[in-house]
Amino acid sequence: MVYVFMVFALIAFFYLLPLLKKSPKRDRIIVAAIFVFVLAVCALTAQGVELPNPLKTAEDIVKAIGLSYPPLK
Amino acid sequence: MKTRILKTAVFVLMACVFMAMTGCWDAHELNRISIVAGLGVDAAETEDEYSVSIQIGKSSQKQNEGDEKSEPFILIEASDKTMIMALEKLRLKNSRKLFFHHNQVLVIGAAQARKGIVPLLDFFLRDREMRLETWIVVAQNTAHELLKVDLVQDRITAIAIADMMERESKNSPHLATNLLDLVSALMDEGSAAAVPLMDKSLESDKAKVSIIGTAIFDEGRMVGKLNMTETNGFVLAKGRAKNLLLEVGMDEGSAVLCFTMIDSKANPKLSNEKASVSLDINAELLVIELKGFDGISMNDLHPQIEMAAQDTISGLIEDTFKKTQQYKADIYGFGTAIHRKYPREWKAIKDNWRDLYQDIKLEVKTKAKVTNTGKIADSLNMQENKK
Amino acid sequence: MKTETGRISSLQYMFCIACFIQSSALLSSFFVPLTKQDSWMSVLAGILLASPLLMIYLGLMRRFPGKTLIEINEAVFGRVFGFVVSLLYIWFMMSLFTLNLLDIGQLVKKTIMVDTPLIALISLCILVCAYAVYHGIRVVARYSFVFALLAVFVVITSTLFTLNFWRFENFLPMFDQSVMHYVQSMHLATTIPFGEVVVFLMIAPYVQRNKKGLARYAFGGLLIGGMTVLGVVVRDTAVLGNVLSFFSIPPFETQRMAVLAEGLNRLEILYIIILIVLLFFKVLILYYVSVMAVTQLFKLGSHRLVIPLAGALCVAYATFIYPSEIAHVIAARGETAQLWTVFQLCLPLFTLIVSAARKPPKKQSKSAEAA
Repeated sequence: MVYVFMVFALIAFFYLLPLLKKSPKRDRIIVAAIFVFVLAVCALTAQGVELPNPLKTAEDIVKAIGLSYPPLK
Repeated sequence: MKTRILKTAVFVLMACVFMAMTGCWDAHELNRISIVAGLGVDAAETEDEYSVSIQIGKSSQKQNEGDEKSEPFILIEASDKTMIMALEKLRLKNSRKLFFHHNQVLVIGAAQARKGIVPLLDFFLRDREMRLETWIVVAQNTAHELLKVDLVQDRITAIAIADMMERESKNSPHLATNLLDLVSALMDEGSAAAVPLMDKSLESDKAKVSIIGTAIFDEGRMVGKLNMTETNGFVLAKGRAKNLLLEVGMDEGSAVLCFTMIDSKANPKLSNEKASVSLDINAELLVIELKGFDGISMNDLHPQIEMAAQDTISGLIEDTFKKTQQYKADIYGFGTAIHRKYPREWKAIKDNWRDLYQDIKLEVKTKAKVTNTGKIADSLNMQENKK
Repeated sequence: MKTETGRISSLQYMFCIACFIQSSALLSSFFVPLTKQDSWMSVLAGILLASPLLMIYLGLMRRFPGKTLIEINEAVFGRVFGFVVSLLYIWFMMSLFTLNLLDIGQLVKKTIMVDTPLIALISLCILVCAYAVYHGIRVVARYSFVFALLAVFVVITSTLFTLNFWRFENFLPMFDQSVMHYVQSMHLATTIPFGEVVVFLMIAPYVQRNKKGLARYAFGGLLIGGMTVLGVVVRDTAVLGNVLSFFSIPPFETQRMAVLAEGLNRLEILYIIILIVLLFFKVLILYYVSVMAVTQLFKLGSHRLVIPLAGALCVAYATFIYPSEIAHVIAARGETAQLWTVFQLCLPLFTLIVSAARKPPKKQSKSAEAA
């Protein structure tokens, strides 16, 4: 999976480069920041590291409030 | 120019990556698979183990190479505690990958049927290659023996059995059971399942497979059997049958009639936890063959035949019903009918349903109409000896 | 540099909504085990309960013509709070995107391509979607009409081919389950197939309005999609009976039994194809909506910058969003409906109320200026 991910990262990088050259400076910073973030997430996932899951956190909040439906018998 | 080279390079790279990635894992080539036509499950000699037999159709190329006396199918067997482990052992005995998508029939040996079939069904429902329209058949002895029969007319026994089931189901959907019907009956609280019973027979040195009756399953175990006459009684009670033959005996002779249509409506009644069912049967028949009745004309005979047919049908249905009451097996689905009509009361009685089933009073009201007597009305001896 | 300049017709909008809802026909396994043979009532309730939701969204569209959901949030709540609310919506859309991506991958993996790794299937889907999103809404919505019609055609033909298996007694007895199950099932049926059309608030500005307005098209899409889902659930109940709640993809099992003639069985592959196509369309819409939302939130010059980023993030997220399919189904039944209701009902309604409350002050200041 790591090799596939690296290939995709390269493709994404070379795709973004010409687009970013035409964009204003503000856009470049934001996109670069998001790119680094996404790269980190993908790399960690490819390695199998456990990442925090926002959906699970939201579900736990719902359970804690007591709004969740009881499980099916 | 630079972007063009870049774009081409990216495209080539992507194409290589994807051609290497997709489709290779799930490729199934016809010469690399063994098409399983039939599956048989028996109770193995070791306690708690299944003996699984699979019948694989030989591809025609191999048949030309082999000698003429070899069987046109391969039947291999393995035993283990669970279905999938047994199939794993079979995989090791076979050079090709087993392909279950075309599995036509599941044969269950009598010993295994008595032990229980619910655990072994789990594999069939879970595995994505198994289909719900697979026919289920119970073998009088062992499934392996039934599948081993080398038939003259058909190359592969399992396909012959499937064709027989297909033909029977056209006469009545209750004469053949597929996996969906079986699971539906097993999931229904209180219902029992009726599965065709088959046996191999020898006729002038040629082996045949024949349907000999029905096996009754209650709570996943075979509890009893019905012979062919009783099976007809069951099918007539359920309705939606045609092309069944009915032999009607009277004082002056006997007639063989054929059903063109039979309709049955079950009206359950529940009062004070005592159940009674009133069955309304509406049948239309043809006269196929007459024997005897010297000197009587068809005009006089017609109403007599209808009366006799009504009595015979009612008698058949009542006899079969009494036998199922002995087994405490509700194969008619009267419990489900009561559940649908009296949902609240059903919740109270459903745990005792089997005992209540023994005390059900069945009232059969039959209306038989003989619509046609064939190409002739009076038979030869009726005409000759007309008074 | 390209932001969205394409426009789609109102009819295309309607069929987009219809397609979006129709793809949920296979998600019936979420609420079918709750109400069993009465599941058709849940679907009907879902269509009815989704109508007021749709009216809230249309209300927002009417108040802010030409603005997408993100822009509406900024207009109503101001820059800071609007940013926060939009960020929540983006989380919602990306979660939906990831879950549906997971759905299409698992569907293909479970039914036809068992050995292919999930990530290969998902990546292929993303790449095709990325191409469509790159070219904008015109390409995205182009095939909605064909897909929606195909879906209706497949449902009708599959119903006809399984007609000999239909048993009307399978719908009895009615109202056999506990009241809580009915409430839960109706809630699930409203939020999962129908409520997700809230994302179409992102597409509304790009629809060429005609004099008739957008309401009839939105409701038309809801009806077409809703009737398809209802048809599928009714057919499955009639054919499978009490076995309905047993299987994880009931329509697939029903379709497997369809026989046209002696040799024309095994037609389930047609059904799988159309299901993959519909789910792909849903993923496509969600991808487009997520990309546009991020672009508008950060006020980027072109949505094309975000395409690979959103795609890669969600592909990676799809691999760990749920540890197993069972956890997915348990969470869907237990908590998901409540979470989605926040974004489908609470937030849009809140936005509508606040926008209605804020307008009078503007009028007052204008009249004060005039006076």
